[in-house]
Parts: sequence; C-alpha cells; structure tokens
Amino acid sequence: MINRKYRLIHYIESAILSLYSIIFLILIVSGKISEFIHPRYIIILAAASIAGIIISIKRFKEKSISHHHGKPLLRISLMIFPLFLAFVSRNMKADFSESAGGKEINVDKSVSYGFGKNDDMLEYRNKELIVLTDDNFLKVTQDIYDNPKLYLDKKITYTGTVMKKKFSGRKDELAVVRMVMVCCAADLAPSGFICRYDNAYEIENNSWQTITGIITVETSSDGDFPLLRILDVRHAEKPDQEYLYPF
Amino acid sequence: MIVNVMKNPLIRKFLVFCSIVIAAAAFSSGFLQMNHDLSFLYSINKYFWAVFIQAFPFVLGGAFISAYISKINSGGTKRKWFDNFLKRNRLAPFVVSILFPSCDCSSSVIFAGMLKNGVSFSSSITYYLVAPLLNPIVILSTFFAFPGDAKMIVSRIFIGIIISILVPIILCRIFRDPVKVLIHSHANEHSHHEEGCSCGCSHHPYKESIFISAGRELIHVLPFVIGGILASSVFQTFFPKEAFSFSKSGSAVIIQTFMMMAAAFVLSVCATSDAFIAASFRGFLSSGSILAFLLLGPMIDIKNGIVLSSYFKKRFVVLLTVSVFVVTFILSIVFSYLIFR
Repeated sequence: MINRKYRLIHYIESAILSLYSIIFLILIVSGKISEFIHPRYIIILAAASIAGIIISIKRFKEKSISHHHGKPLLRISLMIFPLFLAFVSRNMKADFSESAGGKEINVDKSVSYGFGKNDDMLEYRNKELIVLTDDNFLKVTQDIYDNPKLYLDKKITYTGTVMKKKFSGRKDELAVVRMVMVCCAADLAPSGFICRYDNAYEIENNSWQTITGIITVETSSDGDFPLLRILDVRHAEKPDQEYLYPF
Repeated sequence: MIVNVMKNPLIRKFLVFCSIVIAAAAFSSGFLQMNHDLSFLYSINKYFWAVFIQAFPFVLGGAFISAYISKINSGGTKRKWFDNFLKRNRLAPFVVSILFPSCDCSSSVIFAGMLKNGVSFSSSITYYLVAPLLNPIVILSTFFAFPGDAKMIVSRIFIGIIISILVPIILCRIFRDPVKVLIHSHANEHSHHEEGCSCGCSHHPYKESIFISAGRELIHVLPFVIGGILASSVFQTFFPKEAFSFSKSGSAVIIQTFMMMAAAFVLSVCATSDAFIAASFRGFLSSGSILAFLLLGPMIDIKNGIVLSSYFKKRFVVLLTVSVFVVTFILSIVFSYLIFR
C-alpha cells in the first residue's frame, strides 16, 4: 500500500515536471519566450526542457522508485501553484506607468549599459535628425543623458511605449520609453525620455507611439538632463521585438 | 476498474485537491472580472515566471552536476582523478566555479551534492559562496553596468573570494560534524538504505541512469525553488527597490550598507542582473553599500535560503546566513574606506 502511494506521488511529480517542460517548449516555439527571458537563454532552456521530458519518461518507466519525505500534498500543491497563478492573471495587462516586474520606474535616472564611447557617437552628435532604432537606441540615449548639451535643439524620432506618470507634477508630461531586459522580465527597466506635449491627455497610457521631438535641456540640483518637446505623435504598432537587450 | 482506483485514499485526496483548485480558479476568475484592483497578481505572476523559466535550466544543470559527483563518488565512472581533485585540492572550488559556471540557483543543489559525497565541508561552502561571483556572465554584467569602474569589478571578485574563505572557517568551528547539517532523507542519503529497505527506492547511484539521479535531485528541490521564487516575487511586488532608498545621501555609510544588504536579501535579484540594479543607486549611495549589495545577493538571499532548507537543517541555514551577512558587512565597510574613499 505504501509502495502504491509513493508510486502515485512519483508519477504525479513526473507528470508535473513534463508539463513544465512542455510549457517551456511551447513558449519557445510560439516566440512568446522573449517576453520572459533574454534570448541568450533560449538554447539552454530548450535543452533543459528536452532533458526534463527525458527525465519524466525515464521516471515513468522506472521500476524501483524514489520518494521524498515530507508532506507530499504540500509539495505537489507548491509545484502546481504557479499554473494556478498564471490562469488567474491571464487576462491582466502590464501597466508600465506604475510598475514593471514590480519595480517603480524612474526614466530620468538613466542606467548605464556600458555604451557611448565618444568616437562612435560623433556620427549622431553631428546629425540634425536622429533616428533611433533597436540597434542604436541604448547607446544614443545614454550619450544624450551623458552629454545633453551636445544634442541641444536637435530633432529626434523613435517609437516607444507611453508612460503617463507625473514626473514633476506637470500635466503636459509623459515619457516615451523602450523596456530593457538584461536577464529576464523581472529586471525590466525603462530607457527613453521624459517628454512635454500640450495635448498629452490625448495619448493613451501604455500605447505605442512614434514621436518626433526637439531635445531641450533642463537643469536641476542633480545637474543637466534632457527633455523632449514633442512636435509630432503618431500611433504605432507594437514592434516584433518588444524589449531591447543591451548585451 | 474505476471503482478500484477510487478506493485509493491518495487518489481521492488528489481529486478533492484538484476540485478545490478548479473551484478556486473559477471563483478568482469571476472575482477578477468585477474590477477589483488585483493588478499585483499580474506583477507576482510575471516576476515569478520570468525568474522560474530562467532558473529552471540552471537548477537542472545543478542537479546533473550533483548526480555526476554522486556517480563518481560511488564508483560509477572511471573519473577518480576528478573525485580526488574535488576532495583534496583546496583550489578545487575556484577551479570548478570557473570550469562549470553556475548561478545562485544551481550552486545550492551542487553544494548539497558535494557535501553528501564526501567533499570537505569548507570546500563545499566555499564553492557555494564563490561560484555565482565567478560566473563569466556575472562578471560581464558588472563590467557593463560599471563601465570604467575597475575598482567595483575587481572588488566584487576579490572580496567575494575572501568572504568565501572566511565564512567556512567560522562555520567549521561551529559544526564539528558536517554530515549532521544535512537533513536525513531518502533523497539525500542513499547510504543509509543500501540493502533490504522495503520502501521501493533505488539506492544504487552507480547503477542507475544519470537522468534518474538528476531527476530525483530536481524533483526534490523543485517545490523549494518554486516556494523561494514565489516569496521573492511577493517581496519584489510589495517592496520595490525604492523602498530601500530612504537611506539616501546624508545617512551614515553603516545604515546605507545595512539597507542595501537587506535589499539584496529580500529582493533576491538574479546574480546576472543585480549589477544593473546596483548601478541605478550610484550617485546617491556610497560605493561601499553598492558593493555590499553586489556581494551579498549572489551568496545568500531569501530564495536561496528556502532552497538550502530543503537539504540542510534550519540551524545551519540561519548560521550560514548570519555569518555571510556579518562578514560581508564588515568587509564592505572596511574596503569602502580603503578603496572608495
């Protein structure tokens, strides 16, 4: 009887392991995995998922089973709980204005990602219209934050998602940002600019917009920091690659 | 057939459990549609799955390495030189950390595997503490997050190595018999059940497939990994990192250092990305407190504490945590005066 009980627990635990492995493979095949982890981990996740399925099959075939002391129902409940959590929150959407992975956002504290050597940036500093793309977004925004006065009155255009958080209490303020992933979605952080726009109230929070603006510089006790005065806003589709990856 | 199956009390319990889960899911689904503000669930869910998906390959890798060590220890392979190297060479923890990069999720599993299979207590602890810090991705991310700040990058590695040597010295004085720190279980100690046990366990690691051994380790640790990540997800959601920044400029370095270490422990940020979070505090917190954050996080946090408690007795986990905390605190304060002044 004890043996049958342990065998059943053994099979349930193996089934849960294979279920997780299959979920990971489905996420990889559907491309949704990039919402959760950095692409550099996809290959090892695929290998681990396949290994997880092989382990499950071998455990199902195992004649002499292993078991773990403790409370089996509690162990199984813990292993199932994430699926329950995913089911409950499946229709919820991210509100980047308040949180990203649970963390508060401050775009004005631009985090360095190790880009922005002076020689590389001359090309952008001399342009009248700077076009930000997935490839140059991080290094150019960092250089603008590091040397805002070199970019004064230059035009800039890029596509990003709107954060309508009140940064200094002004009603005409919003931020247009791209979310940056270093490791996984838990460390998502915004990169972009705080913008001023008279019709800011017309722009939907969390929507994707292509903006064109002029770089201005504001001085505070922390030093100079760049702001955009928006000239043009156009609705944009969410890009295929939603996040940016610094390395 | 079905009636016979239903007579099994465990199946009945499981079916009741499934019914409760389905009912709870249906109820919560309806509840959420009534516009209650439960957006924190989204945050917990997203954080959990991101960390869990990223941790899964590393935990599995740790389980395979632990199974491999168990296999060579039981004579299942001819790699005796590796066994001898692990058990006798004092540099082994550092060499293994560099040759087999692991993060803080997998190092707990390998730590337990080493200790179970006769690797010395001090070497096992040193490996557990230093492995995440010597991971190339961790070093690279520190390099990118602190460009041109060689002091921070070198200090993280160098002081990390010192901590990984000092902490085992303290713990070896407290725990004279290292095997006693392990929780006795079938999953942990095969040697106690070599022959004649009626539980049906397989007790011969050298005979069984490495997939079976690794699978046993993985299944053993998985609920604890899930529990640890869930705990850190809740903390991340309700205590964002800004909650710890009341120790901004002006407050004493000691308070800043303590708060940053508390943040590292509670938030359980992955070792590969914590450098970027630490970098966001640069400018209004002392370099020493940022260094303390970078040192403590990969060594011990709430997630690792829960995973370690699946293998080790509570007293050991608490004393390990306290000694890492104290040594990191003292060294961060001392080095912040020596290096970053």
